[in-house]
Amino acid sequence: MSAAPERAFTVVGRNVAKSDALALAVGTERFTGDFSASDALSVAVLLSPHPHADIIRIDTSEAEKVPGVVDILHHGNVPGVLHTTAGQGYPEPSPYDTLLFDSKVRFVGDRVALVAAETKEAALTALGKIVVDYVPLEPLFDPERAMEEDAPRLHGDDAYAPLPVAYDAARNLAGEIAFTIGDLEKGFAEADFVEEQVYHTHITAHCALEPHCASACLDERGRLVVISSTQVPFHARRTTARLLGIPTGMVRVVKPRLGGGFGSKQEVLVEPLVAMVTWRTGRPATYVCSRKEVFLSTRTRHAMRVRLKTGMMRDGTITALSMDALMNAGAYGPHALTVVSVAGGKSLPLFNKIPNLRFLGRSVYTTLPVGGAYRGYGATQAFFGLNQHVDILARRVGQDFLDYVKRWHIREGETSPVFRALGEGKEGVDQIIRSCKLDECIDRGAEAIGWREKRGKRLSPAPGRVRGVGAAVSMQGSGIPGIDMAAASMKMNEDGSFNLLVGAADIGTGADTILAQIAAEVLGLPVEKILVLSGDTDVTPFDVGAYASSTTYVSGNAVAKCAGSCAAQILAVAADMLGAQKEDLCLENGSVRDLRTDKRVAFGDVAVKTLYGHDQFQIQAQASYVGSESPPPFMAQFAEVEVDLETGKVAVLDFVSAVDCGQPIHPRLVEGQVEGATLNGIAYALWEEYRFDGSGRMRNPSFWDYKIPTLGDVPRLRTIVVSSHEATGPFGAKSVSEIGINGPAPAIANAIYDATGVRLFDLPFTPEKVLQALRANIPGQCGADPCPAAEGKEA
Amino acid sequence: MLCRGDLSRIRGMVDLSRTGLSGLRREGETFFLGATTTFSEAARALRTCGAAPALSRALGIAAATPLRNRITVGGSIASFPLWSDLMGPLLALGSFIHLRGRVAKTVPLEEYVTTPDLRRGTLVTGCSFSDRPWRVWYHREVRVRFDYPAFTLTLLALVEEECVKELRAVLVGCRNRFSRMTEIEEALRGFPLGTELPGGLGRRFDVAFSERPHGSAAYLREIAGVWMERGLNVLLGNGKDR
Amino acid sequence: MQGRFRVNGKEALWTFEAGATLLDVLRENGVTEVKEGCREGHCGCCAVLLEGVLVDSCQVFAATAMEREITTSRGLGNLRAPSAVQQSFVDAGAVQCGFCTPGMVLATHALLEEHPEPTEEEIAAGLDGNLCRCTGYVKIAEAVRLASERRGTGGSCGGGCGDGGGCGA
Repeated sequence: MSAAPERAFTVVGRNVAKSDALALAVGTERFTGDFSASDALSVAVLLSPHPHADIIRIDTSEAEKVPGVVDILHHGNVPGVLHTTAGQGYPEPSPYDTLLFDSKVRFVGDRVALVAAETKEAALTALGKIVVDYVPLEPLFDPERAMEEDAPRLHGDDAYAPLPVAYDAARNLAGEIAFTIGDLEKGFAEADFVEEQVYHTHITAHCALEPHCASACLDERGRLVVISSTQVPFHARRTTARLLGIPTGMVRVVKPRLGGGFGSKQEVLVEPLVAMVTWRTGRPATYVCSRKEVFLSTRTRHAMRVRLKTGMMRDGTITALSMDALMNAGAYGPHALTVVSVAGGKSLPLFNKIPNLRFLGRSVYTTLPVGGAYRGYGATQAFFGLNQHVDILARRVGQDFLDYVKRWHIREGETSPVFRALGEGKEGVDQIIRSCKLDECIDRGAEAIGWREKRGKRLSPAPGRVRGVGAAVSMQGSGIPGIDMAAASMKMNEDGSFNLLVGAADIGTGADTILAQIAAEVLGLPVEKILVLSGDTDVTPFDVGAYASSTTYVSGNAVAKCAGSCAAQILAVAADMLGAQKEDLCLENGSVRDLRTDKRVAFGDVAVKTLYGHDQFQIQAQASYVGSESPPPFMAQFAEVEVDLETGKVAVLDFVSAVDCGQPIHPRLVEGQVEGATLNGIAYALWEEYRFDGSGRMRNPSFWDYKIPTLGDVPRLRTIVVSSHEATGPFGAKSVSEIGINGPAPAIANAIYDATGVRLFDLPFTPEKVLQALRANIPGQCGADPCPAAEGKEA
Repeated sequence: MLCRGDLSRIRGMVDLSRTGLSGLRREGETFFLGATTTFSEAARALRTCGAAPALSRALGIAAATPLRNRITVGGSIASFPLWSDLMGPLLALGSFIHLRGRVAKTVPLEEYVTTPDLRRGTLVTGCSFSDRPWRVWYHREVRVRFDYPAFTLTLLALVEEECVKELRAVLVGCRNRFSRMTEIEEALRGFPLGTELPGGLGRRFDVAFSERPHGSAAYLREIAGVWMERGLNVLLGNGKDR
Repeated sequence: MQGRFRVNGKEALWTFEAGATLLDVLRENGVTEVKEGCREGHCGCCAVLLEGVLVDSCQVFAATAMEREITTSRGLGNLRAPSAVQQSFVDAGAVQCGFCTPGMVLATHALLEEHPEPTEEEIAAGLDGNLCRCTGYVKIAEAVRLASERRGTGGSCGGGCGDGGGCGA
């Protein structure tokens, strides 16, 4: 079913030059911070030092006296408009629980006040002179405690969910979703054995190198122009206008080059601040978060506790499975419902032959930094547990992990009841898998890592060191079906080139390039002839933005449709010019050829005729696309690790990712997405971690102590692109940007088990934690002393 | 000098980079490193003349390239900051610090580090050490490559007639900032190379750690012992890196 | 205070606060290819070459950089005549979001000046002060090797120049 049709592409599938790469390498491209007007006010934000407190007084009188201070905002002088900072479809599936400035703070890093001043120094000086009286309230750090009767309550009765979804501020419940298929108890009763485990994932940061930033100014006619580092220009426009109480049309959001997002900028956080300052003062304003503010105050990957319980027959048949996911939303609920939904929705369909299935996803408030969208979006957290669980189960029935997965995973032509049961925060849509080459991913990845030679061998290169291999499989999606809409418009120029305007936001992924490739392929044009302009709400048509692995598939389909419409117009004109039938014409390298006579007419001539000849018109088109399904990319990932039994240090020696993302539009950009996601995933497993003190303050809000890898930390990292053909995708493509982050943590955990027989249920695998687990499970082999802090059997 | 964090918070500054205190000089067995020599320059110079390999390795891997190109030897000695990877090798080499200002004299680095009064009103103009044909081993305990170490461990061994004539072992990063592991140095004097090392050496030194992002105090103490034994094995034992 | 700066071969007289960092002074004066990623000497996005030496401009007082040659990515090449390093980053697919790229390109340039045929360890050390969150570094390492080859053979860099050759100014 997924065999690619007999068609040779001329642009798709080729590693054309990424359209902005040279300008980025030279340094002429501009990012948000490179635009700021010289007379812009500098914005600085006062953050809460308390995890939970009422603000009973704010005294700004001394701050106002600081020379250069122009405006100070706080809850007392800014309208309290409840909203969510999540940049999602409207109305958002996230609760409206946030004010721009509130009289209550709910985590260390929550916003208290803002100063706009002539210089950054003046703004910072003034911040220090704002006097705030807090009455501390009881903090709440433990998500397990959040729903208890006597737990401190974070949000008042005014907070609400704009959609009919489960939300209960009184119980700190930021979101809840559940479904049951079949009869779970019956399934467990039928099983030969039941396996139950709890897996914990931790809070981490996106670490896009460009900090969150935005600037605003009024244009010549008094409209508000916001330049922003955003993944969601249109959502940013909508939310900003709403918070300012002005019509959407009064706001223009422009997204220039963007220095990485990974989900962190699917959040409308900074735009309303500069917009509010500019709207009040009439002055341009600019705000660039410090790295510390990014860590403390923006968004994180949610921590999640996933309890998996499985009933299994001795032959490996799963009779019942229950996944209970409890997510720590942090102080507010952007994405609180949808991330936990995706945890089940994108992981459970992978094993689609389980007759009795239950999912419970709950998302609770705590007085910790706020979770948000982060590459993988809940699937990462779920797959950490699920892949280890499958490894445990396969071992219990004496089967190889890979053989087991191949026997039970979803296949082409099959469906899963989960697709319908669980969408993003509500019911999903039925879909049949049209393309799945997971078997080939597994086989080729296993070959590359040397699975047969290494698995279970516990090779030891030196005393005290032992090696193992582990694998993980995953799927994601391609956009949110029925919700994500993308639009494109195109017009033809005299030289046969096209302007392609898309609402899609290229956040560094190369989206502009692959959308140009799709248009070029449809039109039979060299890719340089497609001039892309993206992400400007005044100029480009709507697009929900860069999230949910939607751009290649959803925006790509819109572009293909739009280009097809232009192609039809060209053919009609060319038929007339060539005196031929449209059916006999083909588009080829910038001209139209009559297949019968071999006569050609160049696109440029077509354009000139339509623009300057008789009965002129502009060859142009616009198209919109909404996916009716969300074809998942599939991936198998493999880690070879070496565990130092005396120090607990885990080194990844080799890592292989084999991915089926349909037809790769640009194979090298596919590899780039996979490699970036994979290294992010390895770092998630080994090094990255928010560490908190007793009052909920992040102890390591700096690259000095929040460690992300440099080039020398990268293991051998390989990507295998397994092509398939997704019938609903543009030229057979599916999306690929998120999936690569799902596998590293569980693959490494499974490899550690393969090496040592010790299982790690909690991320991250810091050396000390690993050593404790080794000690607890294989005494006598790991150094001389029992580690004083060692406890329990599970790390 | 280099400051961890935002430079713009610093008030008051004298630019020492144009004072002519830069470079590596050699007089016989003695090397003199000028205070304003950057880590990169010092590492390169030492590598070129094959001197003090532990020191050149420490200098060449501390922090990261753009910082190594700015951090100076003198600044690091004077402030003993987080990325003081070089202190272990300098202490092990028995370096001397050259001071000007309120006190103008040459003092052992050990004395300089432990006498806060020496830092008041003085300027470090450089450090000197004599190099001998040491066998060297150096370990930095880091999470990722670009990290300040939780501790560094420097071992220098002078071998004559297949026996250890002199051993120097220095741990930097413990609660007292650094520790010369004299118990180990004594225990292995005269030790014949290639034979089995005495057991439990990793536990045979008294060093306390504080909790670091790299691990708890107990964990760091324990792996310091592991690395001590590994280092000694590489340097003196049957060569197998355990 | 006022000071004379030489950026990419061009002289300029700029006014700045005594304690200002080179990063701020450069960006305030339009040298925006120097990016601000952390202000704590860790990400390398603000890297420049100071007298040919790679430094984080957030860790350099502007006052100490006066009268010294400052090179940014725009000093290595331009759109019509990119340097071999810049073109190699493009060709290897080492540019994703590109926020780290000006710094990466400078680090690579400095590395290859010192080690024209770097070992893997020399590449790891030479680029250890430059963070990238997009690529996983695989293609950045490829770009460095490609640039090394191209510079070694005086080969193609798109604009027909060799890095370190004449395309500087």
